[in-house]
Amino acid sequence: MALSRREFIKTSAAAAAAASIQVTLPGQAQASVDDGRDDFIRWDKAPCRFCGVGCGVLVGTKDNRIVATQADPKAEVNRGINCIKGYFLSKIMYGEDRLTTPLLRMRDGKYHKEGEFTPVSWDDAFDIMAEKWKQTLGSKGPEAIGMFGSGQWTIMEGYAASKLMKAGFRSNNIDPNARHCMASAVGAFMRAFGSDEPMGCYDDLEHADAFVLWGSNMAEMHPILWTRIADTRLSKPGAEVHVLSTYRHRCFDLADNGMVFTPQTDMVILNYIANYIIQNEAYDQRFIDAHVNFKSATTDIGYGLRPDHPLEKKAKNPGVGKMSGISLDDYARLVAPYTLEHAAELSGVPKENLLRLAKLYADPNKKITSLWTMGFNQHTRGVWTNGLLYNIHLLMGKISEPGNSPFSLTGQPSACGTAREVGTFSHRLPADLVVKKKAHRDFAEKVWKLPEGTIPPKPGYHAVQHNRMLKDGVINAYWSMCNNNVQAAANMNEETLPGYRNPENFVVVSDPYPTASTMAADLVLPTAMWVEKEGAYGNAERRTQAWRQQVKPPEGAKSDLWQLMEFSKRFKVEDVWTDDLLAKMPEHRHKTLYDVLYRNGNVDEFPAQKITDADGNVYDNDEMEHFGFYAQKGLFEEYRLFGTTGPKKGHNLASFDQLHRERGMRWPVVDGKETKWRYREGSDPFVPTGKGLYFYGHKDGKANIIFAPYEPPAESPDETYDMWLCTGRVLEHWHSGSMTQRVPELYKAVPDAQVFMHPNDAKKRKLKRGQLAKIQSRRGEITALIETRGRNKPPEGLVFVPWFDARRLINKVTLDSTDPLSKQTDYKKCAIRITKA
Amino acid sequence: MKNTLWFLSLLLLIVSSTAWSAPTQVHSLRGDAALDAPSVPTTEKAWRDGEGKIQRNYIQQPPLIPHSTEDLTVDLDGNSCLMCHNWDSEMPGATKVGVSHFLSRDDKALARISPRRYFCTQCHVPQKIAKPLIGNRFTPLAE
Repeated sequence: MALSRREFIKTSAAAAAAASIQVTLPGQAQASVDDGRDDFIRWDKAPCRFCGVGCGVLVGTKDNRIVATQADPKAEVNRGINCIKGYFLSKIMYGEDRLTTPLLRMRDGKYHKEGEFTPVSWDDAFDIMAEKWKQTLGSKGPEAIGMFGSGQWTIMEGYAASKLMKAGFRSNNIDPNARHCMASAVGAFMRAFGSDEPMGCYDDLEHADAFVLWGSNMAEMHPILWTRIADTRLSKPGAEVHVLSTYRHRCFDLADNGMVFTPQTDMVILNYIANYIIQNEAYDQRFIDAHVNFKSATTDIGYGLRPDHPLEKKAKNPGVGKMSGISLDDYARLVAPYTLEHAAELSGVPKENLLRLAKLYADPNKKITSLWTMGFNQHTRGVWTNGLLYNIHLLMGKISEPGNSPFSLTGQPSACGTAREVGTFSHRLPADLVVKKKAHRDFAEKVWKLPEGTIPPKPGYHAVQHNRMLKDGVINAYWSMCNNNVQAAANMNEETLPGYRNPENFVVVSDPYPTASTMAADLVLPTAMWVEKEGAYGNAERRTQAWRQQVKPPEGAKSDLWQLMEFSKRFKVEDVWTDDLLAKMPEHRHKTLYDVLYRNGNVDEFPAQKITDADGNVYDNDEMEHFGFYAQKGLFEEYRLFGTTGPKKGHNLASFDQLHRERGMRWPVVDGKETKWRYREGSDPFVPTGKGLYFYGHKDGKANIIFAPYEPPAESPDETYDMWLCTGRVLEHWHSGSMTQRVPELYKAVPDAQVFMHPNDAKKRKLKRGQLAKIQSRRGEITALIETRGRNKPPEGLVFVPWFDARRLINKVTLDSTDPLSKQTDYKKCAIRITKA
Repeated sequence: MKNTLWFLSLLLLIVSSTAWSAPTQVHSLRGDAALDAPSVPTTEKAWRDGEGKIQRNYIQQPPLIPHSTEDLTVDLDGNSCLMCHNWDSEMPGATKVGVSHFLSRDDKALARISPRRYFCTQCHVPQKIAKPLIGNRFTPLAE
């Protein structure tokens, strides 16, 4: 019996998906079979929700549900491949415990700090929130409110939040979780180049002859960039891969020269390589003369702990970032003690491996791309260490050209686009501007059409300080959005939890799912996520990527943007501004913050409109429907003025409309054209003609080589706590696991956070693989299953524990020591002991 | 009788209106364990190993690995997955690598597997035998 066409399709599971397999263009209408049945799947582009690589995906939607996701073949970043997390994006929104109503801790019908979570309306939620905010602002002023934001916010959300805090509430106490991941990178970029973010781009991965990984497990954390490195290494004759880490991981599977070093001695190895280059006169004298200044860092700068900590008291120059000018000869003398013998002795890396690495960097004919992430950034000398690597590239002139690239990789999907470029840090404003400079504040106030003096000049509290100030009762009204900082912040027992649960404080957490942070909150706001709203992200290679709203969020959940703008309606300008300030623009009296910040003629410039793609598919925009104007476009176009007309050049973003058409654009974008290599004539339009290379972030067009010595970590193993603890991620889970642990396939791939340790260390403690062990520091303890044969193979004396597992919160164990310059926590080094649980 | 009915409907009204403002049970992935409580106990889980293929959710999804990969290696010396899964392998029942794996980044056809696809576990992962912590309401397009 012949099957009818209809029956044939019915027998084929996922027939409709199959019908679309040839679809490579987004939104291309795939005609369904002509039997009247609706087999149509709408495909549209979006950036992945997870890491900083910024892969393109195609989202398949049917009947207001995501039915499939696939890698976008047209996306330049990933060209048709996703990692395992990316392939399961389709499921992240459908965990069955999505939050759909605000929840307030209540007792006897009223808010009570120790009450039980009780569903309330959005109106009631904002009522109590506004009451707490007004009470705090009235009694203690803007320094007593705070907001914790995210490198996973959309650009528009981060921008709206920054405006609300800095201009609306006039508080600089806004900081993103990107403080935990990228602050050291930012600090080093500003010191060396006077402008944030990499000069190179992912194209370097095809151009390089050699790759050196410094504290980055790209095979798991940046898997699609790893496919590009694997592609080059396995197909280009002579290509080589060098991997440095404090333990063996999956990147070592591709390594020609794998090196395991003692924690913190990366600084010694870096200075040794600089010394080798100088001793062998391999440096590029002409490049140095034309493009480089030499500096020396202030030393003995402490560990970013509380001021009464003995280590801070002992430090001569805690937190001092001052640099002094030196000569090449001075620099040569300063690195001279870092000999091969010294480096090998301190790092534990065999001499021949170190020498091979040094020779590679010193070879003028090898194009080298160096890559790093949290190994450098989550480091008590993170800013220095980032800088020590720039030193090597600058000595050799191996920078800002195809394949020669010191490349700071990013952790989060929009740590660059939102946290860094929008400047949602406590000291920053958009496009590299800072609150402490009057000219920068003046410019921001002009764009925002606000009176001079609106933005406070003093930087606010940084992320780690937020938790300390909550604990001390200095910050009392606090809003955390788009992250899970109770699980993410270090030293949970001593700082985070006492801070959130301090009876003086009212803590609000917005999230799609119940997390450790929502459990510690007083008010929980149910939140729309990823393609349930329109947005844009900026990835690690300066690529800005926009997407449309694909589906409606669950009834009751609202986007962060909706929450921010709607909350601003609860405040009259006179509630939050001083009379002096209001007198400068009396027309704002009686207006709400919503009117002043978001109905300022810029943000509401674009009227509500039908959103369609090139094929005529129509998309929702819930915020536009609610507010009556195209908020995402208005916010983005106002924000763009900082790059196109601001005091710092080279931060031009593509227009909102162009971003919706393209697979992302790398800034600076001038006349619709993107920039692959910054500072390089012919690629970057801001380099003056004839200069060839020009580091225009600094007035003299030069970059800084900054000497910094090795200084020891804050806490090292001793007799009582005899092992190093290093924390991090695994491929299958994103950050705190709130999304990926709810995808059954990803959960089953890695259900538990394990403690990876050397078999000899297990044996010495009479422990076996698969047993439960207790991991204990001076601050707290957890239990986890022992893994001695897994993907990570630590040397004796070190263990690795990932932090995705809410059921074993490793940040009870970690230490909240930071780089004293960047204020970024060192999650990679503290002292622990391990016993049988 | 009339009064009783009136009372009952009033009671119903009270019950239904307080149901809206009654406390609700909210759990994070920690379940009942408070944030300051010890870690939730867990035990070692076995790999799902050799019970046939795992159905995909949609055709673009890379197949999950239905067996343990603990003794397999993929490194500069070789790729032991391809012993069974390469297109010319004669291992019965083993899923063969798709044609997409023989295309370069520039979409050129290759004679051997594309180096960008060399590390299988970036996209394909094995599964432990474990009950999900939370259900997921994603529905595939199967009929």
